[in-house]
Amino acid sequence: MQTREQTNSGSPGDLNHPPREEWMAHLYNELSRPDHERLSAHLKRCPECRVRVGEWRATMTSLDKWKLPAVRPARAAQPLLKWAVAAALVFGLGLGLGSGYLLSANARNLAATRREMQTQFQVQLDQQRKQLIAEMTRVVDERSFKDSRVTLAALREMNAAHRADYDALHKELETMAVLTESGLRETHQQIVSLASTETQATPIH
Amino acid sequence: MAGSFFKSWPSVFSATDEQAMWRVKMQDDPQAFAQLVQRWEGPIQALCTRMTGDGHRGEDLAQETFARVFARRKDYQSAARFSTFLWRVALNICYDELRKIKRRRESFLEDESGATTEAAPESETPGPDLHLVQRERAEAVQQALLQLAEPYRAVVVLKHYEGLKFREIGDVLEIPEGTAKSRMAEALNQLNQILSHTLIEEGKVKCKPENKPIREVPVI
Repeated sequence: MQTREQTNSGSPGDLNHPPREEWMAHLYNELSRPDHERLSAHLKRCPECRVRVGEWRATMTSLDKWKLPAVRPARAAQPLLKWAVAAALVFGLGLGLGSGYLLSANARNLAATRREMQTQFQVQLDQQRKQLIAEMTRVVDERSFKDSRVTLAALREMNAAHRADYDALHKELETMAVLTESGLRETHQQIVSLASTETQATPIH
Repeated sequence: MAGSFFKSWPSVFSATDEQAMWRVKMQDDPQAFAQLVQRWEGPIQALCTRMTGDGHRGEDLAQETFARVFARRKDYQSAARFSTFLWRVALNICYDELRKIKRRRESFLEDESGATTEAAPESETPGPDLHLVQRERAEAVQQALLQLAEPYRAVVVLKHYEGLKFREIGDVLEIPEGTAKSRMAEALNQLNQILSHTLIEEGKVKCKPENKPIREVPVI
C-alpha cells in the first residue's frame, strides 16, 4: 500500500497527486481508513483529481448498467451461512459470558454452602467412622471372648481327662505294688519253709 | 417445514472449496465436484458471459470450464486457493474462445470482401419495451467492454463485476497487484472515452460501436 503522495507527470499546480493505482484502491474501498481519509481530503482541495475521479466514477456507474439475468447466488450463500453460524457462535459465547457474570454472586453463595456442607459431611463421616471402628472392636472382642471360653472349656476337659487317666494309672500302680509285695512275702515264706524242710531231712556227719 | 430446516443444516458445515477440490483430486469424489459446480456455476457463467458478450456462449464456456477443471484435477495444488485456480481456467477458456471468434470473423470478412458486417452478439437487438433506453445503455456498456483488450477486460470483469480484491486479481492473472490497479485505471479511461463517444453518437443517430479497441494501448 502506497502511503506517500506522488506527483503525476505534467500535472499543473503545486499539489502532489496520488497515483492512479491508489485512486483505484480508493474507489473500490481497498485502502486503510487513514489512507482513504487522506485521499478524500486531497479530493476536496484538488479540482484536477476531482475531474479524473469523477470520470472514473461515472464510468463505474455506467458499468453497473449491464446486468446479467439472475444466476444462482450459490457463491454468496455460503459466506452468508458461515457468517450466520459465526454470529450465532459469537452470540452464544456472549450469552454464556453474560450468564456467568450474572451468576457470579450465586456462585459465591454456592461456594460458601459447599464449604459448609463439606464440613458437615466431614463431621458425619468422622462420627460414622468412629462408630464403625467401635462396632468392629466390639465384634472382635466378642468373638475373642467366645473363642477364649471355648478354648478354656476344651482345656478343662482335657485336664479332667488327664486327671482321670492319672487316677486310673495310680490305682493300677498301687494294685501292682500291693500284689508285688504280697507275692514277694509269699515267695519269702516259701523259701523259708523250703530251707527248714531241707535241714530236717539231711543227717549230720 | 422443520424437515427442510434441518435438511439445510448440512450445508452450513459443508466442506470448503479447497477441501472439496482435494476430495475431487484424490478420490474423484463426484459429490464434492457437484458441490463445487453448484457454488461456482453462477460466477463463472457471469465471467464468461461478460468476457465474450454472449449469454449462451457464457453458459457453454462455464460448462467447459468445469469439465477442464475435472480433467486437470491432478494439477490442482492443495496450497493454492481453489477460486484462483478456477478463475484462471475460466479466463484461459475465454481467451481461447475469443481467439476463435476473432479468426472466424477475419475469415468471414475476407470471404465477404469487406462487406459492412458487424459481428454483433445475439442479444444486440433490444425489443421495443418500456426499458428500451436502459437496454441500449447496457448494450453500449457491453459493446464498450468488448472493445477493450482482453487483459483490461479481464481486470474489469474480475474487479467490477465479480468483486475480487486487486491482490486476488494479481494472483489469478499472475501479475503484481499494482499492475492490476493500473490496468483497471487504464480500462476505466478507455471505457470512458468509448462510452462518451457512443453517447454523443446516440444523440445524433443510433450508433453501434465497432468491435475493436478504440485505440491501441500497450498492455501494462
